[in-house]
Amino acid sequence: MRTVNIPAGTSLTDLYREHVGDYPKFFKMDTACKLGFLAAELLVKEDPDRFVPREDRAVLVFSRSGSLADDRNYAATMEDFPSPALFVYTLPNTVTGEIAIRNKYEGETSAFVLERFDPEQILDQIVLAFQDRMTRSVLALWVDCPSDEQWEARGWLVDLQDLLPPEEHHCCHGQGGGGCCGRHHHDEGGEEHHCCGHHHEEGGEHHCCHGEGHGEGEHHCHCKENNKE
Amino acid sequence: MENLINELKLKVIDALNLEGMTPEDIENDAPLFGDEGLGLDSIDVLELIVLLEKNYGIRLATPADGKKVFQSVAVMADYVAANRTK
Amino acid sequence: MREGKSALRLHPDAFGCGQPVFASLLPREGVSGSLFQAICVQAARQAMAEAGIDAASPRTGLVVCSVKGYIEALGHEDVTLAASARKIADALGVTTPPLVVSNACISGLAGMVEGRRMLLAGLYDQVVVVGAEVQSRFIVTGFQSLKALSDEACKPFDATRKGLNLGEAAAAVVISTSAGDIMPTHEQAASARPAASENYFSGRYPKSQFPDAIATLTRADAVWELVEGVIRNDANHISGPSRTGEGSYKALRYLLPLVDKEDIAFVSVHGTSTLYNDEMESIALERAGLLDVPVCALKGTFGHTMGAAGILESILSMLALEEGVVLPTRGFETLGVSRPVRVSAVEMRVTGNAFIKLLSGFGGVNGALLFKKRKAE
Repeated sequence: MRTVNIPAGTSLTDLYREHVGDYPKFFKMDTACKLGFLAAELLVKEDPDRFVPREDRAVLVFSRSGSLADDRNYAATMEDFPSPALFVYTLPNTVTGEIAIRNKYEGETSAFVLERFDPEQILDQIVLAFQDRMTRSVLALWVDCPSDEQWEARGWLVDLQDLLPPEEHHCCHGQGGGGCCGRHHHDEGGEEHHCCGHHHEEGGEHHCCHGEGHGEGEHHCHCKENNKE
Repeated sequence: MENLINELKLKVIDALNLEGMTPEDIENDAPLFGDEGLGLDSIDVLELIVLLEKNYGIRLATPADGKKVFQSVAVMADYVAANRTK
Repeated sequence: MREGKSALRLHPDAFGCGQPVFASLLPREGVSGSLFQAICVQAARQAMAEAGIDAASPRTGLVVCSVKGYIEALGHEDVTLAASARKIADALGVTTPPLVVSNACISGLAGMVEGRRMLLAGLYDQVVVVGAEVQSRFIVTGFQSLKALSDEACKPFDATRKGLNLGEAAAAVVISTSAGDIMPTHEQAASARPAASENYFSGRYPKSQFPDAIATLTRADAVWELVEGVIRNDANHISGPSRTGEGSYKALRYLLPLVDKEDIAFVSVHGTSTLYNDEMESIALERAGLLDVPVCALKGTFGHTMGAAGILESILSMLALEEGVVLPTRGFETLGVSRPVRVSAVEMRVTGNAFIKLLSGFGGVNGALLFKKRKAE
């Protein structure tokens, strides 16, 4: 799981120039969108195949204030010349749309308002999002922006694998707790091991992962005994 | 007319949040919309409609009218000069 | 609605916006404080009473859905949906933390998606989902600035359509868990639930506690299953719909494996009567292979009720299918989209036990719900 935090007082323009730089639409966004957009950039900028359209990543935004900062900015124009560019941002979910457009995320996008920053409630909603049978990762943001100068902005990128309980997967050598994820390799006695990601019992049946999503020869079952291919 | 063109460029840059652009970056006859142009979109058309009313007292009825008037800064300037009430 | 009545009227100067507005507005006499909060409480209370559920139970959840809530008090009071949800929860006597879904115009639909998921995860045994929208100067001037409103009664899918009408409403449902293979009375559902201490969910596991669990809505003469709900983003533009109906198509595609096409009585579409939305939906329906399924658009009767729409339009669809009909698309006369969508100006008899509710919203969101009528005893 990756996390990010953008402290209040950070220059968003500087952050944009340092980490993005090639997306002029950034300057049309309201503060809440800029925050969410930048938090997402920081979370996903190292992703392989970054801009290939995908349907398996959900984007969720949580706040207490919703679009309050932009609501005030829009309301100030409402009296004589209402601004359409400000109005389209007077929605808590616009930030998810901007992130989806930038990254070609064609999966679920949602926006929620909570009474306070409640990690339990946020985690519950993240887990619920995985009930969509196509969703394999969730980009979740807490972007609370009561004004253009004050905010809290945090983000998390959660993979399905992060949520599966460790007991179901074991390293062949019985190294449980955080166990085998099927993705990362881990050291044991200095030797690199790659788990196949399939549930297997120590000392019992072991299945080589060959062909199961890994390149042949690249990954090995830990245990040489009872090795089925 | 030169003054009006320059004034329009400044107002467009401001209204559409075209960060870092200066009037020198916008050619008078350059298309404002589409990929070859500044890449402005449908919300930008609506903002420009507001710009015309707010600054020059010109009311355009529909976005379709807008697309004709906003083809380039030069076309805009001609239209404003002919129709302004402020 | 079946008699062809409409709640839409021309309001000469609604909210002092300077132009006449064609909309469906609720009466405001005798209302002090937040009309939005009041209608949420009224609708939710009625649904909860009809369902006979215990508001204060730790197994009762509350989802509140709206786009702008109490926005007309901006500058005077706390207009956050968080503050409104607290007041609504307190008025209803709900003790669990309310969830507010504010996902543009699909909010009501999205709230039902969340309610269903909460049930299947074992978080609650019943969830009240209430959606509401109240119009205001804020919203009306905003849509005026987008040139999205029509100054006449709106005409979904019609060749002369020119924009949407705004509406106000509150709608609420109670969704409950039932075991999949039995007639879900409250007693039977109660016996199928585990003790609270075995809450699977405490393991943060992304699966339903009961492999056979379903989410149901119980009416006087029928039980409906909310089979599935899905949200998909166009990833194209923050306010205009995708020209290829990307998100709507993907939402429909997600649902289709869960139902026999012959069983789909109709699709209740978004049908806002804007040039772009209705055209986009017709393309999405074609791509999903649903052009031969009857379609209805209900906003010609009560306008675009935004946060309430997903719930209101689903409820009306259930009522209609209980009568074996698809409701007329008021305002439609001549097909004005490029695909031959089966939209009708008059009520038609339909066959099938299922319907799909389809909606779209700003931010590129699109959502769809699949409902199936279970056999009544």
